[in-house]
Amino acid sequence: MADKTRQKQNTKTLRREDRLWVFRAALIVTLMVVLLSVGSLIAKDREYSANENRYLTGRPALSLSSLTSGKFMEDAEAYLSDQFLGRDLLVRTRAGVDRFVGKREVNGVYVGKDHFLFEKPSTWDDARMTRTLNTINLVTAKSGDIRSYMAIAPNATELLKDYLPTGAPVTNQTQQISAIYKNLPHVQCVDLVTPLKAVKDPTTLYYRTDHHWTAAAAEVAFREIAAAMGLVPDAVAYQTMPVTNSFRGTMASSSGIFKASDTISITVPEKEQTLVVTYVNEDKKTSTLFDASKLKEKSQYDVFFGGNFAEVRIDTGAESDRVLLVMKDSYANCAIPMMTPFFKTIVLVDPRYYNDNLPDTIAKEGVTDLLWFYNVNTFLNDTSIGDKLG
Amino acid sequence: MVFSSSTFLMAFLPLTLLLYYGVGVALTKNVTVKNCILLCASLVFYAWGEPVYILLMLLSILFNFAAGRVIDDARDSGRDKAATAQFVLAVFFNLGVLGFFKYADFLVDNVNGIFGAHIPPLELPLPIGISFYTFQILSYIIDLYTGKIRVQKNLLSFALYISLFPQLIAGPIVKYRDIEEQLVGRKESWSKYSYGMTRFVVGLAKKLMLANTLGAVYSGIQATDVGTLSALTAWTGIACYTLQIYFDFSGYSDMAIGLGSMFGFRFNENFNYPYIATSITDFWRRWHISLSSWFRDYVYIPLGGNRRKTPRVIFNLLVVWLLTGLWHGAAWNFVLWGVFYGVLLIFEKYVLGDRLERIPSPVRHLLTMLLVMCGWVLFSAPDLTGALLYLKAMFGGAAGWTDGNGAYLLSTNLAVLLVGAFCATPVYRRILDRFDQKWVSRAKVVAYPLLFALCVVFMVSETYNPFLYFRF
Repeated sequence: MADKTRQKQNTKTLRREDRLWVFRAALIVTLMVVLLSVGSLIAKDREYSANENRYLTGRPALSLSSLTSGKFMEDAEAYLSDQFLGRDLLVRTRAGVDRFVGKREVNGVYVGKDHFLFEKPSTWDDARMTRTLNTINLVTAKSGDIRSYMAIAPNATELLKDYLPTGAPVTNQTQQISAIYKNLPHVQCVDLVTPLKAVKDPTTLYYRTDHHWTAAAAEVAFREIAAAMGLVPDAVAYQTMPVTNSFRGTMASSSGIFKASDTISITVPEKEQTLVVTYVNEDKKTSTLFDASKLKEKSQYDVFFGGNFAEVRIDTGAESDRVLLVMKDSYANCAIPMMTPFFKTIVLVDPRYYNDNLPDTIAKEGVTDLLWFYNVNTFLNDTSIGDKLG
Repeated sequence: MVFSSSTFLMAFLPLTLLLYYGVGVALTKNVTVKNCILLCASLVFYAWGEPVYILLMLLSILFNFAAGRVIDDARDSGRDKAATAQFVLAVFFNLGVLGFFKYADFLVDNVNGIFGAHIPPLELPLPIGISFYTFQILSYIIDLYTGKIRVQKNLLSFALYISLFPQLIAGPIVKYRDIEEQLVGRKESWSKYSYGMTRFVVGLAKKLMLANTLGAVYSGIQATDVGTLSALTAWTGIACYTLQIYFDFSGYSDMAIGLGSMFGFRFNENFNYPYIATSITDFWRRWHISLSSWFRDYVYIPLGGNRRKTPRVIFNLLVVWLLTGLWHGAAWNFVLWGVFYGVLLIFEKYVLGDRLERIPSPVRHLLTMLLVMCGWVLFSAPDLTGALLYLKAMFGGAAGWTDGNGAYLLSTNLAVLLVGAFCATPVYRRILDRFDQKWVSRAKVVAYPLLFALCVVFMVSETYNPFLYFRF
């Protein structure tokens, strides 16, 4: 009997003690809530997030229309979460937690081995690709005796398979590239996969933190393309120089993983040429292919040409009658500087931003060679070729 | 407003607590003041997501408050027919509003499909929480008419009952009779507050850390062409969804119950480890309890329940489950999902009967889970065809049994799945019971704040939104 009473007494004490600890826990949580809200309120609003590469939401303006439309509420939520105390730290912690529990994918980025971050590869869309390829065939047919070439670069997921998270599903880009090439009977297609796969250390071909390829990879590609065009790149001496080692690219930004940084190098002819670079729509002229000011910004890959523009004309002063038109995405940007000794003029057109008439441009510039220069992911997703050139 | 947002956590909750405890509890000690604060907070809470439909809810509150008074007056003065007429009117009004906003387009779609008509759909957005608050209102009107409760003469109390923000948007569906006294007679206490806060943190963690994480896996799988899914991928996906919907929904109920407790209320439990059920009957005793008990009290029993002859009981069950399915959404896959459970329950009741008990319980558990997961396929699919194709993929009919993608998805999400499965059962309680209870209690002072900190990490990182204009 006494035992039972004591036991009951014991349970009672335990329960009271439990309530006390739960009370303390709740008190701490309450304090955390207060601290976070008051802290975020007092802390000065940040205007810009370098990690996210965007302006953060500021205090929302209250008005009757923003209230009834619900815009105020949306802005308020965006404001509070954008200005959350310790936001960058919280995001970094999350990436750590995700990796700890075995996740290998953050925001559409594969978190690979040896700090490699991969863009998830694009898939083949029949309707879109038919449209793009038909357009290219049409452009080829219309351009008469202009020599047409195509070079599609594989992405890191194809060449760095050993560095992908184990078992991560990727597409077979080698197959995708041959499928593209097969459908372009009158275009001379350059195989970039085989020579790139032959490179001893494939880790030199792509950035760890960005979706682009390096100048080293671009040089391999350039030599293949040059051979196809009947140029002799060995006649020119090239030099490679690093321009930054603090590059953290799109994949780092997308995933919020900023552990590694990359070196951007540029490869250029040793002998300097007097260049005139015209940004056609921007009405801007410079004498260099590089924009060093971009090295101070987040998107350091923009050091090549300052980014992507609708149309850029490079007058090289080289002794040649050939005029090259490159239809391209940003992969081409780091290969173009190697091509300047071989063409009198190189015109770069990025169909995503280009709104002029292509036959007009071809006629006006007296184009002799036309090169389609893309990477697989962009090419598979691209709709601008079909939209604007067809 | 949702509980797992910065607006709720950093602005709404602290402000409401401050006003409620500062002005309501400490300063005036007056229940009218407390209720006023809660009502205002609840209206702001609702208007935050539905700045226009708040008028609909207010209209509903006024109409039903008046209807209650009329029914009661008629009853008191012996005009039973007038009471019945008003009761029928009120039921039709409420079901009409729900039907109009939730089912009109479903009806239009089917009429167009069957008769080849071209009635334009209304395309109205569904008012948040309308399925929940309509059922709460109906519990009041029906119980009042059948004399189970007394009329509510205080508009403030009535409005608070309908709009109380913790359970306004996603339940539990609180019956009026369960909360009637608490509307004026509840007492706040530190132990209720601390229980509520910790329960809220648990719910928040279920939602943010488990439901959202698992949900992302499933929506990724759902976004891929169903014809390319291996059985392994399909099962991984539906396992993720099975846990996601439980943690999402039970997490919401935890938060609702916790928040209620912080303001002195006590709501009934809505979930009781449904995934340890050993039969479908058992499952529905444990899943969304407040909904099944609503249908039991207000549809099944009025239809005669199981005191009628077998064919009639079967009919009653089918009606209840058809409606349960339809309540979850205006689409055929929800209807089929409801009927699927109706048929299973009838099968268990009339065909298996006592024989069910003779099957070893691990086998029963496994079979129950298989059926529940197939049910979730119906529930989560975009349409009926999608559901059938997904089921086909689960049995190897789309792209074989295994592939690299399935292996990758399973291996990279295995830890989360296992944690989820573990947290969906009461095993952790048995484990905790083995330790010295003194230390278990002490650990709580670290565990809850840590869990909350992780919730904040998950909440904020979900809004991480890098702008990649240099994407190309």
